[in-house]
Amino acid sequence: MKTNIWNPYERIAGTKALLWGLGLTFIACYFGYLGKIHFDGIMDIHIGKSHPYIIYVSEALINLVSISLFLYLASLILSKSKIRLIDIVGTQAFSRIPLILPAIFGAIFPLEQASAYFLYKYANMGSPVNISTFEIVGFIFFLFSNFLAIIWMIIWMYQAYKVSSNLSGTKAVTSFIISILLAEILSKLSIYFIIKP
Amino acid sequence: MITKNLPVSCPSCDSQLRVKSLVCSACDTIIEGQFDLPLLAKMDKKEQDFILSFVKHSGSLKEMAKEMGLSYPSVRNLLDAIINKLNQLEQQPEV
Repeated sequence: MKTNIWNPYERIAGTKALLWGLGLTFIACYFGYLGKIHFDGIMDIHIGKSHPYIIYVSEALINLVSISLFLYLASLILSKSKIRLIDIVGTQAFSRIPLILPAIFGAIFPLEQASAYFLYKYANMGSPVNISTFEIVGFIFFLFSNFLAIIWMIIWMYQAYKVSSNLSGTKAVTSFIISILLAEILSKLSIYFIIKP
Repeated sequence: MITKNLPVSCPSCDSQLRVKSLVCSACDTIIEGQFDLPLLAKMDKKEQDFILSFVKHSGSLKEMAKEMGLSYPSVRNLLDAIINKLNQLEQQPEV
C-alpha cells in the first residue's frame, strides 16, 4: 500500500510517529540554533537572537504540548471514538517535520543582514545595510521554504487530527481552527513567560 | 475459480434484499418464503472480512493494524464505521 504524502497517518501514528517527529524536530532545532531561527509559536518561524540549543528545543516542545492539549480536549468533547493521547501527540509531532526545511535554509544562508536590509528598505526600520546577491537569494529561498513548510505542516496537522480523533466535516474544521488559535496564544504566552528568549 | 459474493442490496433501487428461497443441495428440497438476511450478511464483503479478521485477532486492533499495514487510529476508525453501520441496520424497520 502506498503512503499518501498528504495523509501519512493512514500508515503511521502513535509512538512511531512521535519518535520520528521528535527526532527530526530536534534536528530542525539544531539547524535553527545554527541559523538563529526560532519556532516561537505553533505557526511561527522567526529570525531571532542567538540562544543556547535548549531554548530552541524548549520552544518546539511548548508548541507540541500546546497544540496537542487543545486538539486532545476537542477530540474528547466531540468524538465518539476512543481517543488515545499518544496518537494526538505522535501525529502532531510528525506534522512538524516540514519545519526542518526553513531551519536548513536558515543554517545555510546568513539571514540576519538580509532581514535588516529588507526591514529598512520596505518598513523603514533600523539602519541602512549593504548585502550581497547571495544573501538576497538566500533570504528569498528562506521565505519560500517558510511558506511551503507552514502550508505543508497545517495540512498534515489537520489530517493528523482527523485520523486521530475520527472527526470529519464542519466539526473537524471548526474545532481544528479554534484549537490552533488557542494553542497559538498558549504557546506564545508560555514561550514569553517561561523561556523569555 | 470465480468467487460469487452474496448480493445484499437491489441493483435496481438499492433497497435491502431478502431471501426468497433456500435449497437443499443434497435432495433439491426448496423452501420458499420471505426471510431477512442475518445482520452480518447485510454488510459488504470488505466489512465482513474486517469483522472476521477482528475475531481472529481476538479483538486486537494493534495486531490488525500491523497485518493491514495501517496505523492504529485508522483501523479503529474502520471499526467505528462498521459499528455505526451495524447500529443503523439494527434500527432499520424490517419489511
